[in-house]
Amino acid sequence: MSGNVCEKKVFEDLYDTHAESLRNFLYYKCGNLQLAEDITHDAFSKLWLNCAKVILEKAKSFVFTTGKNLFLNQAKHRNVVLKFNTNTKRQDNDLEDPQFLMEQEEFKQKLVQAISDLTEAQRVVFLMNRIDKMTYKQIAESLEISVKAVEKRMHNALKTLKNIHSKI
Amino acid sequence: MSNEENIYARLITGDLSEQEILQLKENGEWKTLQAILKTSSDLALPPLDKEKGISKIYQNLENAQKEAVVKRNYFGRYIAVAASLALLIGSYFFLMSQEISLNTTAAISLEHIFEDQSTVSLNAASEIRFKKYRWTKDRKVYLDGEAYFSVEKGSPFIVATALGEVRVLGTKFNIKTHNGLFKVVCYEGKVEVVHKGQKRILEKNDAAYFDKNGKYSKPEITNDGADWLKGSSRFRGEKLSFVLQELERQYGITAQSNAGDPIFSGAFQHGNLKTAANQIAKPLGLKFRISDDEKSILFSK
Repeated sequence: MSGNVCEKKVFEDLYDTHAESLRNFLYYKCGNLQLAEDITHDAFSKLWLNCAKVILEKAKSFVFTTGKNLFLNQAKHRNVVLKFNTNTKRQDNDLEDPQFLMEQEEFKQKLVQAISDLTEAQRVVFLMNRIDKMTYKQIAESLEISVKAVEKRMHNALKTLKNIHSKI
Repeated sequence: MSNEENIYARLITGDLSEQEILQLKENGEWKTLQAILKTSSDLALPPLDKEKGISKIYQNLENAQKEAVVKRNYFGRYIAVAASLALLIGSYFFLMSQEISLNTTAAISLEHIFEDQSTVSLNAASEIRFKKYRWTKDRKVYLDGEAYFSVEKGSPFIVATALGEVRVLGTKFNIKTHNGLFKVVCYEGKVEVVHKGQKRILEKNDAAYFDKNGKYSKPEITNDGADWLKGSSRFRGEKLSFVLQELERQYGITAQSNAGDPIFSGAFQHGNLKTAANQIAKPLGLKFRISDDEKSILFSK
């Protein structure tokens, strides 16, 4: 991509590329999909209004920072309950042992609960990597923190999550 | 090393040593970790409806423009009326004070047409600001840099710069303010120039030139429009350093000379750096070198 953020085409390309990962990021923070989408759209509205002041290379961190700030203005979210779809197309479903499938579903539920219970900082980094398939470097850029900090949060997230069995 | 610390983070990137993998397998964590990674990477959120999203953004912006200020009612019901009245008055002043800012970076110029069909052409690396509403009543523009104005008849048209003010009634004129120099050329009609308490009236084809110390001089006008509008920059007895600053603005490069600061009269074109550099170097008997990345240029003897 190249060009001026004030051009509609460039702006819409930016939206196409970054809106979903911003929305997901906000969802990981609060567990409220509607709120996450509203803030995403507000952040992009702000980008459009400030298009003359934001160079293309900074547009992504602009919407993430704006989204983060808008989110801070909202009420605190203490008990985050996340919900997810499952991505897999299991063609060989029929062949699998029902007992095994049940265990798998149970494991998934336990895992999602455990992820919800992580600290916000760990949860966000963990899910950006797992769901949005972002590299540590990309996460670091979006959150404007160091790669080292991302690694640390990731490490601590998995350190907590691996105790999933012993919890119950 | 902190390597040991981030063992789980490196598990994801596949940066574990064989020994570390063995260690995880032996302490029984390996299977659980793999299950966590597999299951978590299959998690998904409903896709974002991007088409709906983008139209919502434009909708939001439109609404915001219409309403300008929408605030939650923080006040008790009994003062709601007073509050909304205050909001109404407040938003009126807020709206009236809203500004539009147009600016150009190096190598780019742009043109803007005002509500009353007056136009401004903004040269490279310049900025104008003006009030968003009631333009026809209050025609005042703040300028930093260089711009050419064509003004329709109406209320006084004022261009304010950090160095001085120009008021007009309907005319064409060019203002240049770079590095403390304030240069106004009037091409049609009449303009009044105010600079550090000095007032001067310029008639058609008049020009006024104030240097850094506020000293006034009257440059000659060589043609009937601002040169840069026609894609060139013209100079008459200017220092080379001044010419190179304009070259930098027009091409977005850095320009230097190690041949002193001779006086230059002539013009250079916009659009082709090599041609422009030739037009500057030849009359002065200088040579020049453009760097490989075309980001800088050096003039020498």
